[in-house]
Amino acid sequence: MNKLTPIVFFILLLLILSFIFFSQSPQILLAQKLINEVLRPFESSISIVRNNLMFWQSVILNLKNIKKMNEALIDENLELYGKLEKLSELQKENRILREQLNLSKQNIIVKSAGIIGRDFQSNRAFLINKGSNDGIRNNMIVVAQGGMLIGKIIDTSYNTAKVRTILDTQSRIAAITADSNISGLARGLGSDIIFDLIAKNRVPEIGELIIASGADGLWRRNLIIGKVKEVKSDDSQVFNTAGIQMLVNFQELTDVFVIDQ
Amino acid sequence: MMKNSYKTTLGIVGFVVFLLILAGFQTAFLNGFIGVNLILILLLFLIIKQDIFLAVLTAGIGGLFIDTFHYSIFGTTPLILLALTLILITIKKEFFLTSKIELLVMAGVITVSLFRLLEFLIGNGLLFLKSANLESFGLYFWNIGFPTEIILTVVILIILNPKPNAKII
Repeated sequence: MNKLTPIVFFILLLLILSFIFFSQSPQILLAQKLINEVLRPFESSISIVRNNLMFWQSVILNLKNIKKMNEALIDENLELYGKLEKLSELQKENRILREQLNLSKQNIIVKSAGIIGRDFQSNRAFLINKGSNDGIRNNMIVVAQGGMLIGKIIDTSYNTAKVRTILDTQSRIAAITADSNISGLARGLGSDIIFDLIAKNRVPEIGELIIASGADGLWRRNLIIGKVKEVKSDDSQVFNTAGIQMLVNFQELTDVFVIDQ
Repeated sequence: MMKNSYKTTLGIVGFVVFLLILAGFQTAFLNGFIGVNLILILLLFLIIKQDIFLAVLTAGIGGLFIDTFHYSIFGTTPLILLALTLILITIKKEFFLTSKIELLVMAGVITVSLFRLLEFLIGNGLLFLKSANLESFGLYFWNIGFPTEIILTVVILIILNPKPNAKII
């Protein structure tokens, strides 16, 4: 066995280097997909256990808050009933206006998927249990409940797909503040995200929503990125920057939606 | 002779299946909870036990298994683990060819730090070649995940208490 060790080492090294340097070749992609498919049954079953454990952990930890939250939700519910009535009136009005303007509704198909694997730093890449077999393709946008932007599909195999989250350092989104219309670039920092390239004379409000502007043609407009957490304005810098507070806890995320436009 | 080779082959296949289950557990369960890398701990465990053949298999094959949804280029993690194996084999005689607790602590600190340093250098280097994108050094070292991983690695290593020269296969 000891004599074999250097040979095995060099074979593995050559194999891995070929994986890296020919990463786009069909054979390497096929090998990657095969490994994914072999791992999938383990990951699917383990992720079910994990999700159940996470659910009960959060129930136990938040038991005290649940009663308070329930009361608050009842009040909020009553308030929402009132708003809903107004909304249905607006909806009718909107429909009439759309018909008059001859606007067709955008054809959006949403597919739900479960997260079955995460990368070591936990928030930069996910693996979901839907793949090319379910119509998932590269560059499709992934959101959480409420239109919170999660990331983009970067790789698909038959039954799984890899999502690069907006926290990844390769992620850049043309963004805009929802109220004051200040435009900039939401940029992933690995474990955090910032709102960068804000014009020096514009300062967003703390707590203001930041949404995708759609100006880059890569991300759909109006998807929510987060809230302004803090604004950094330094005289020595050409642009202002703002920290973004994510509205979704990526670690607690178990299900996502893939948008097919 | 024939019987032994048959047993060894079966042992290696069994070990690869074990790596598969471990990688599945790591990515689907542990990564969402706590920042501890089981493949890295297994690698260190095997190096301390002087089972270099299995350590190389862990680095190459285990690394490939956990790399399927790494944010970087496919193949980065096994390359980092293979480089780490080579470094650890080189320095093990000087540092941690023993199972004394203080030396296990040192082994854990060195391994986690080296893994993160290599991840920063190799992973970042490959990412830079691909997309001209550089990540900050602090992303790998200046966060709570770094000391947490060291502590958990050392604790697990102490629990496992690896002893040199006790062959697995």
